[in-house]
Amino acid sequence: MNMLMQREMEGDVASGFGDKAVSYMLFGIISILLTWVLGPKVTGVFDINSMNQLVSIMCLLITVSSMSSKLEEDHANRQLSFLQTLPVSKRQIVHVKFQHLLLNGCLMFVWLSVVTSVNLFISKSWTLESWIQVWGFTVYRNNGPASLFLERLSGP
Amino acid sequence: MNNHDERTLLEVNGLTKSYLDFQLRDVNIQVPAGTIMGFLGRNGAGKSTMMKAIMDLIKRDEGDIRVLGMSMPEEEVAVKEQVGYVGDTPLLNNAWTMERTLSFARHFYPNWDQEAVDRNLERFQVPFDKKISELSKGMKVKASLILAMAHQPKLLLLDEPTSGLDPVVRTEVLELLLDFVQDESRGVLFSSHITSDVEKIADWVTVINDGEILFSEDKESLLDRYRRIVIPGNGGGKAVETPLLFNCQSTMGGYVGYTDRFDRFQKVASGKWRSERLTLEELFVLLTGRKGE
Amino acid sequence: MKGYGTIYLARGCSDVLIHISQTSSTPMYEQVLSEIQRLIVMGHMKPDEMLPSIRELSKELMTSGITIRRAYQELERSGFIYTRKGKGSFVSTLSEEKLAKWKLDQVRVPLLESVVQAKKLNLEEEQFQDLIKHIWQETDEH
Repeated sequence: MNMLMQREMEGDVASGFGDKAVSYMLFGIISILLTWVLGPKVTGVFDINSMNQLVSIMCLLITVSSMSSKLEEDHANRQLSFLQTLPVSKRQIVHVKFQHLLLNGCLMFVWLSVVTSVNLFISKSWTLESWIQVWGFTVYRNNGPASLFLERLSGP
Repeated sequence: MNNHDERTLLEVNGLTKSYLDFQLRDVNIQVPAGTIMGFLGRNGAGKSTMMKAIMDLIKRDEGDIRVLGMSMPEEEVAVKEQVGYVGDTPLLNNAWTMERTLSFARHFYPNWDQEAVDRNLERFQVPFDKKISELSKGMKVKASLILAMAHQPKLLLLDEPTSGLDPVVRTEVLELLLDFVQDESRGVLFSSHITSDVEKIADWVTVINDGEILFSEDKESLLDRYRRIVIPGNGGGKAVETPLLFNCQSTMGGYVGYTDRFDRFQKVASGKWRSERLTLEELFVLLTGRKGE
Repeated sequence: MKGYGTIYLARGCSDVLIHISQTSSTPMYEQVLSEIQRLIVMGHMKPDEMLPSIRELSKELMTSGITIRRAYQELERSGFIYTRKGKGSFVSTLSEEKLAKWKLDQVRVPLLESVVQAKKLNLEEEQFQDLIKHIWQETDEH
């Protein structure tokens, strides 16, 4: 079990660092281009909240892409078949995959929280409400249950 | 631990698997301990499908699979501790070195034999610290074999281990298999379409054609009961009528036919005839050549 | 190269030769059978000497175990070896008559073919016998 988890984690840091750097760079360039095309007024990037939202979206996309690239790599090397030839149950293999996903999600959450908090702190407008708003937007979009909840919370 | 016959390593009963354009029908085989079973079939006959079904890499529709009396996939962990599998394409991670692969895999097996691994690595000159992607095809096969044997399995399942290899490497692989069964409690099931490899080292021969097992028999008695019968001149007319002969053809010098019950034919046949033994290759072509074409 | 020609089978201190050919039309088990018979008859393997195990020999000759097993069964049936359960197979003590008979049998088959051929070509019996005598002396000189 330990080894399986290690194997999953390995891709996050060590192997294919070059590939990852390229994908991060590409991602950054595209997002800069996007803001440039749309213009600061449309996206309102200089607004603190929008800035946070942009950071959140980027972070989410990077995490998802890194996880899917890990799956693709496994698929190309037929590593899932290889794992199935080892004396571990299929349930375990799926479990580890899922746990890894969860872990990645948690890490993303922590990292995002730090970045957005710093952002809010710098602009000296840190309040619980605006902090939650970032999350409400990122995770559930505008019409998700969380934003409904937020509406109630912020109230009239 | 189990009340099964200790002499049977692998038992497959009524294995069935359907695809849109192909069907594996009611496969029954048994691999006794101490034997090498050659699993012959043309490309696409269902060899890989059956091997994968045994390892539960694909879901079977029906059937019962037991390894050392333990059923798959219910006891898959215990079974896989006793089985070494080499797929039709190596399952090694291309980004890893052999060293990394071995040190990863050894954590899963309680009976890992590092000494045997080191011996085999040296014997086959498999580079330890090169990435798998940099190895040649023959090296990859040898590396997979070393990995599959590292945990001292009782049963080896090898899917086309010798196809696409040069004769020297093929011989090395066959030697390794003969080495493996020196311990009589072990057994090998290896699929191939190279009949000469099977003829050389296999004790049992199983032939599959179009998803169906034609026969599964010990090689010596198999080659014993088949003969090519040559009846010179025109006197062969009557003999050709007998149900003991099939695939009869008249040639320049007389009739040629085949029998699968030579002992019976010997007793019944009269007149002038002579018999010729068949090689496994001739037999294989005779039995699988016509169908499915 | 293993399996393609001459095999040295080290038994104790004597190196024993077995020749087999993977490409010969003679079935493998018959080749192994007649080679071991030859070794026994010629005294390369002594009475009560142990034969290699089936697996050992199969590895040495690079042939399947069942082929060797068949040869051993045949050897046992014809009284050349005996088997002790759990211990292995050993060379039997053969009577002089049996040895002589085996030697003659080895020559009979090829000779039969020659006789048939000679008859086909309408050779006289005397001519044939002369030929044998001639060949016998000729090979003696070398």
